[in-house]
Amino acid sequence: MTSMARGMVATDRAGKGTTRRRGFEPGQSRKPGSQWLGAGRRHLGRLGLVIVMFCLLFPVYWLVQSSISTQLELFHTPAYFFPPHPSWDGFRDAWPVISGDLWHSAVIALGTVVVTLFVAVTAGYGILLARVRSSAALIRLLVLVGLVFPTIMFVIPLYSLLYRLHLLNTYPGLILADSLYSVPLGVLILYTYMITIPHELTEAANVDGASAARALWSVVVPMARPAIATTAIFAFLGSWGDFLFAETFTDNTNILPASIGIYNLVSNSATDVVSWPEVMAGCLILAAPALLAVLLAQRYIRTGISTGAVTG
Amino acid sequence: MSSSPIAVRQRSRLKRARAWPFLIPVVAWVLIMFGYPIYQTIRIAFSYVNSTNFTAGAWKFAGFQNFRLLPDLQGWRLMLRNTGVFLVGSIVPQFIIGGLLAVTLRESSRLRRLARSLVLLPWLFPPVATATVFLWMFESPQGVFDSVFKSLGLVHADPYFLQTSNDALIVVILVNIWIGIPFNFLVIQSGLQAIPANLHEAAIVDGAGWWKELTRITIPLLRETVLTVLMLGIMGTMNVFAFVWILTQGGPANATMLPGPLAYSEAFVDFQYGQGAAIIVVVVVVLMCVAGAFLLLTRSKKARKSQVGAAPVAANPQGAYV
Repeated sequence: MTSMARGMVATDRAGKGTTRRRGFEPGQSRKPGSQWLGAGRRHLGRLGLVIVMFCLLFPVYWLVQSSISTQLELFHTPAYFFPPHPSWDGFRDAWPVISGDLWHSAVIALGTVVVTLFVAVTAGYGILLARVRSSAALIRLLVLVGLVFPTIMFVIPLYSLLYRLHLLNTYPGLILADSLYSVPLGVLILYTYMITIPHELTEAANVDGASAARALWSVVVPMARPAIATTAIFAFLGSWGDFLFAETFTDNTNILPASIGIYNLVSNSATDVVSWPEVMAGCLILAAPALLAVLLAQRYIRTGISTGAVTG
Repeated sequence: MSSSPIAVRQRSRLKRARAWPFLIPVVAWVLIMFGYPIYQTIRIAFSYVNSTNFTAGAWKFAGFQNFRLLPDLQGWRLMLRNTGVFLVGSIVPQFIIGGLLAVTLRESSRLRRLARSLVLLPWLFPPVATATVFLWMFESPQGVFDSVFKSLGLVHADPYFLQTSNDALIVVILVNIWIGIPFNFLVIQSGLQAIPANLHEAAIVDGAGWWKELTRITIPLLRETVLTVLMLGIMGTMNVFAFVWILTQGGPANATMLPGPLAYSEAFVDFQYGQGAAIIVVVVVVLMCVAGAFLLLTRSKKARKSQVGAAPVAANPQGAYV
């Protein structure tokens, strides 16, 4: 009895000793997740994941579901999880109402992409050439300072500026305003990318006698394509989704972007019953660029968000 | 490499001179898009500006009058309360859910990879689409939550979520959480990735359980990430406008009034531009304090960062870890 107990203690100790001394062998490396969660906890983690994902995606599902229902199906109690007779009627109703506005949105968004890229690419390269010490930290600080000013702050002064320049209800006015969403992040993304381009490559262009502008155009820009793509996607989505500036700086139907067109569908029919399939179909079309970006350009979006988030 | 130091220095000086033309667009942009608006906002906040003289531009100096009148604004006090509830109510769940996702989505399988990209959706969704979908889901009596609440027996009459003060505030917070999760997820995920893998390995080898690993390694090293998320969360939340405006316009009876909608309705509904600008100046001052605190905290951290970075190197030669 005593000897057995002693023996057990001894093996126990020996066991502990060996685990300590065994060291880290590749074959024993556990999956990263298992460091966190043991078997039971892993199942719990999976369950939590499923619940969170369901909550996150439910509004998106409901958007799609409602857009292919009829008003009658939507008003049925209890609610249908999936419409019994899916139909395209919502899209058929929404398209003629917002197709013109979608065109306006596309012009404004593409214009914002062009302006943002022009300012951010030249700025990134200029800062690269200026070789200011720790400029990455400086730009981050400036972006942080930019965040101190809420977007709403820019509405009143930009309204008066655009009024004076006769740019209310014009594409250039809205494009200039929307560039506010993307230029600071764009400069940060482009500079932090350009600084990783091997120095010899920009240097070689200089030895060849190429001007700095040519070096930018023929060496740096082609190499910075991923950063340019990220900036362009953010500029497009930011401008496409803008509500604040569009709502304040436009009242002319010849320029109204789609976000306002859809907002008006809901807000103008406050007294009547809103045609939800039509509105949801419109929202789905409005959200299409974001959906496409998430499914096809995830890599760029990830870089963009994490570049913007890395402060200090 | 082969060129002499003098040649290098000359070339770099030449290069610096060539930098200026490239900086003209961004300098002009900053002056127009930041310099002018900041100057003008301060000017308007200290002047008598309303619909009658806004476009004329000859504004009478008002001193602190616009600020003095802020507490008398309808909705000012509710706005202060709502902002506090909204900040705490959104930032804490955003952080917890985003962190949970970051931890559980670290392993890669095809499903998880798909999940990782779908998680980003709420962040990129156009605010109008987000707000309209939630408007429809919380619509009463036809919306889906109305139906769900009724069939679960949670309510007996039509709930009218968006027309009831407390419910409306909860809905607005829920929408903000939904929008903010992807950002929290990504920041925490990149923070987790930045932790050197050998620290985790060392912890395993040392027989530390997941709890010890979490509290002794992950959380201390995530300090900067947590601060970043908190600060950006506060800024993002103070910036909220579009979806609240579409869902409730700050109502019912200012129950969902937040700084953004209040400033906007002062300026563009009541045309009291001076009051609107004064609200914004207050928000900016508060956010400046938050940003200042953040910079102080991360700077004091930086001094210790070098030690943390050196820790695994220093620890490895010690017998206990190898």
